[in-house]
Amino acid sequence: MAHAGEGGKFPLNLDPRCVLVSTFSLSIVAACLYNLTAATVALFAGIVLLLYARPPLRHLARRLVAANIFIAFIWLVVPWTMPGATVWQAGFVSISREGIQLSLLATVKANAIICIFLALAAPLSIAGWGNALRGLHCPDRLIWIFLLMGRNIFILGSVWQNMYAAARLRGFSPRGGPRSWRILANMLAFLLIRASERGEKMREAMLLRGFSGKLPYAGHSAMGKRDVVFSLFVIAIIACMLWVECFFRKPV
Amino acid sequence: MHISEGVLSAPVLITGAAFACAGIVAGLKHINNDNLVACGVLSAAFFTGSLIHVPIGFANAHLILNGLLGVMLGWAAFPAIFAALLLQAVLFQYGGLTTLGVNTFTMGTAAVVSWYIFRWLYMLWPTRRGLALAAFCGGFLGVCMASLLTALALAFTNEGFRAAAGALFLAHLPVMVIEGLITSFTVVVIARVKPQLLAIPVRLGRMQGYTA
Repeated sequence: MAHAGEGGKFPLNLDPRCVLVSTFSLSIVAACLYNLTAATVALFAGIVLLLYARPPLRHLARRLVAANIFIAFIWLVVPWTMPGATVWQAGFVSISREGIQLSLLATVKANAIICIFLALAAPLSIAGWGNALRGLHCPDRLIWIFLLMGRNIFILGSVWQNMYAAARLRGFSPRGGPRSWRILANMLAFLLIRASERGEKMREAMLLRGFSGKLPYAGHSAMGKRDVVFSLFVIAIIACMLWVECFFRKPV
Repeated sequence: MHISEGVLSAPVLITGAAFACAGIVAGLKHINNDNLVACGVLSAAFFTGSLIHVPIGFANAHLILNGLLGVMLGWAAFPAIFAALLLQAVLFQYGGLTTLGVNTFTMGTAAVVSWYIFRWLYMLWPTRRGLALAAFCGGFLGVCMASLLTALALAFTNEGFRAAAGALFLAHLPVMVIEGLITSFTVVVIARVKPQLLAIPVRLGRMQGYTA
């Protein structure tokens, strides 16, 4: 049986199950850290993986900015609302050391997990995800919903674009107000109705092709040498993070 | 509505994931081979719908639509929301893997609560206005409950996040009203054009001249 990976450069040349489990375990361990040094190790590991995977830079920058919006919100609120030792004060506003530490920890952890995800799991295609989830014994119906969504969002997205263009051609320009909201809601209703009709047609077509609710599965080969090396590397990173977390025990 | 990764603490993440698993298992029981495809395609439509930007005053907000999802799919909304969040993480790296459980739980629970409230209100007042009001409450509660649970998750993580949690809830207040209105308008149109799409029997005059 052929190797289950999608082929090509890292991480697509690995078994997708191995990639998925590695991403999950690295992210979960990184998310549970309380120590800034350990979180920095996680960020470093994420950057190394990212350098090795070399995703397209523009794409990467856009994703990182999008993911840091919530972090920006944390920085705007937490440092001056969290009680603790004051570092800087101006009138009623005071910034606490604990607040800064907590925000910094959240920032480092969040970016570490995002780097790990962008390096390992993001290059997998939707079908690759479905295959890996099937290999990890996820319920079939859940994977079906995931795959059907993945197949249809782009199609329905273009249906929406067409409807929106048609509305614009008739002079609709969205403004804040009940009239605009009503028009958008009507368009949304028709998007849902079209989706349901599309779903009915797809169901009939799938039944004709012998759909029985089971997900066809080609199976996975045993883990190759590359997968074993990669898994050992991931285990080493996790061990390193946990060691630093326990060794420099100074929780924020 | 998403909490980014690396913010929540381990106990909150684990509790969220456990509740989300229970919700997904309960939701999958309501999905069989007959409605599986419809459910998947409708969820895709909701995903597309949640990318719509709605102008509010000077700002733009994107819809969340978990209330509408609950009103239309009932318990099946739970696995649909899970799949949508996973897809969002895969395609846009928005949300993320570790917070998947918590986010599924907050939005899924809100969707299921919206579904029960919507059904109960419509049974009390089975007219067009009753339907519009019930749908408004469904959409409003969807966002309200979800932001409340998200704020709670933040507040349980660390006391320092309390103010941020409060700010998060307050920031969603206008979104709740808009979601309520959009859900209400949408459900009324669907009830007139294709009432069988709603999980409850609705009898309104069929709107003439509309074809999907």
